[in-house]
Amino acid sequence: MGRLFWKVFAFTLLAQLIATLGIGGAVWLKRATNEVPSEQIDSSPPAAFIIEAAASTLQYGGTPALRNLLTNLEQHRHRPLVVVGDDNQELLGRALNPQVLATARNLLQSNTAQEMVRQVQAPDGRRYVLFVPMLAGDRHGFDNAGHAPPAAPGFFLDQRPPPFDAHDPRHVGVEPPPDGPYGGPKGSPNDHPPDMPPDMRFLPFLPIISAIFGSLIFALLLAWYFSKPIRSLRSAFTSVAGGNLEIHLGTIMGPRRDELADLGRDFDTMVERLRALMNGQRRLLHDVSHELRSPLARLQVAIGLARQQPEKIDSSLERIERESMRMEKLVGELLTLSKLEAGALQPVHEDVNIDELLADLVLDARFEAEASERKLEFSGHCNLVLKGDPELLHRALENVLRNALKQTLAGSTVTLDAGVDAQRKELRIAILDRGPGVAQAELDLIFEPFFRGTGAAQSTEGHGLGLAIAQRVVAAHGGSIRATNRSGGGLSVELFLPLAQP
Amino acid sequence: MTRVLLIDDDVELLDLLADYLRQEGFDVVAVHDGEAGVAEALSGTYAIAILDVMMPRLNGLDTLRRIRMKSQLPVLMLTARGDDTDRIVGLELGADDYVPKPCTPRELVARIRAILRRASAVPADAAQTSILSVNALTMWPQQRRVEWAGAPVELTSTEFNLLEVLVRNAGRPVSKGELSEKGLGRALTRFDRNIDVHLSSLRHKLGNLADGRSCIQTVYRLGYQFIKE
Repeated sequence: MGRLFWKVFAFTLLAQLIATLGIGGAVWLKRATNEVPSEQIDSSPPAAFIIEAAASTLQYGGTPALRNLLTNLEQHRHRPLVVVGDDNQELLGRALNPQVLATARNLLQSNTAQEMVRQVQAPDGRRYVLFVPMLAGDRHGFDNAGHAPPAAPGFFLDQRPPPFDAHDPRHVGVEPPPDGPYGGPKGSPNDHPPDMPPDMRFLPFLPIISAIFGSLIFALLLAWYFSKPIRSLRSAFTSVAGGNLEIHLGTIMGPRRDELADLGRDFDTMVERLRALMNGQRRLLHDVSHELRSPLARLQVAIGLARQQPEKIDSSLERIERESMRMEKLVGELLTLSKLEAGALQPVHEDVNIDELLADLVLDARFEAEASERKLEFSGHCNLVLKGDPELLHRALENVLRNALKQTLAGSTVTLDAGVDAQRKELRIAILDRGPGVAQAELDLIFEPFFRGTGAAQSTEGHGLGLAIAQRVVAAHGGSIRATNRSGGGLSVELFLPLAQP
Repeated sequence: MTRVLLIDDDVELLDLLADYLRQEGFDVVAVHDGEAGVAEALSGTYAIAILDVMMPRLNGLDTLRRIRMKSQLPVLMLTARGDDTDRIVGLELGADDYVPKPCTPRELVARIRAILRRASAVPADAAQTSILSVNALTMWPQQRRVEWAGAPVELTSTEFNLLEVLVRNAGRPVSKGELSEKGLGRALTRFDRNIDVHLSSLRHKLGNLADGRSCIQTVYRLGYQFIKE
């Protein structure tokens, strides 16, 4: 369990505890304020409800109706509603504890507890005070002194049957029955609905404790739910930092669907990309070392020959020179390629006159082509000026053109065709040769560095970087390059450059 | 004249090498792909083949595999420097030795001569011409023939030389340095796994002792020993 787990856990627990205690406190406070006015008069909602009902009965039905209601309540052993007239007489004629009555009148005057004590005017003009005395056995509103039988614990002593503790009159109205309301046998006369049994004084702790336990469990679950994916993520990062790119968070995260799972998926995508890049780099490095090895091997043999046959020193030195030039060229091309790939070689946005660029290119290439008995045809005038890097574009086109001249069969013709596609708003330059072409599966691969087609003419000139550079230059200009096999043999390489630079 | 077959796709390198080797007194034929290499190698007119591992189409290892299926012609591999896998696989497939690729032609010629010397070694010593026999193994050094429990065993010339050194010293450990000197005809270089790979394939080709152990045992820090019972 990490720190995050404990933090989430602690804060959740804290929040839940505050909420629990806050709500509990508010409820307790409300009860406390309600109870403040009197300990002798019931302020609970049921009492208020009975008072409300009695008040309505009195207002519209008069005293007979109320008396009827009181009798009914009495019969159903309901809460003892007390109705006292101005003459301090109880409506049913029950004796009252004057102290309780005084409290009720005080409350009525102070106007603090309208729901606990109400004064209602009957239709005959007499006014009555209505309230419910406290039901708890230790105090109630009825005077028990001098009444017989004196042992009744109820409120209307003269009407109640004797309780189980009938022999001890001192208990009545002073102390609760020894066993509390729950202590009596079921169905005993004392079994009136308990309002607030004395045991309940401790019971409020039970909900609080269970609330705390509940909070604890939920806080644990929540903390675990948050910290688990983060821990997986962290271990994944560690293993990637350690060089292990064969890691998949998606499977560890499971069917989870939220921001953390998204993070895991993003992480997988990142690792996937890194892996591809690293494999690419590794392969490139491997290819580079191999490509450098070939001229080095030739260099060493040439040096050996120079030692072995001093009379041929000139041709050996020439060979050594040629090999070192090749290595220099390879290193230069590699640098260009890596700069293009890293995005470090941003194309300069100059005006490039395409006609001039192509004419220049063809002039150079035709000279070399004719030396090796190949022809170069050039058609198309586009009368176009593009924004771009003239040097990079020249190099890209030269690479494609040289490749075509190298691959095309002796005596055949390489065609360079340029034209503007007004509809697609792009310049199309096609370079077509009559060489062996490329296997269908390898058409995309020929733009990979150091790729050598299985059917390509074997030659030690070039390293398989030319087309890769061309492709990256065209991409840097927002264009694309495509290779297709021509019908009738040969390869067609098309370069598309957008007229408006992005 | 000793006929050498060069198999490598680098045409210019082979031109230079052929020039160098001819000057050293070899008769050289150069071919530029594996298919042609196999065909030439199996013609039976060559004393040794020099084979590049990195070749397009049929690569060096496959070429070697196909040569070994029919011939015990000594083969020297040209491997990329630092590529241990190619080297070990090459030796396991039955190459006699390897040279990392950018190498001086002088070193190459030295290796070729070492292999040829071993392959054509005909000891004049009477004691060495006699038949060697230890346990189930019988060797005829002059005919370069080996039998294990009466059944003939096909060995490359390097394997034969190494086994001969071990058998002549049967019952005592022979150091790797001595094996390299006598068996490969060159000094042991650091991190050289050559001997280990050859001995591993020898173990596979020869049978086991009665108790299931291999007849060639590694002796820690000392080298190898042919068990004599």
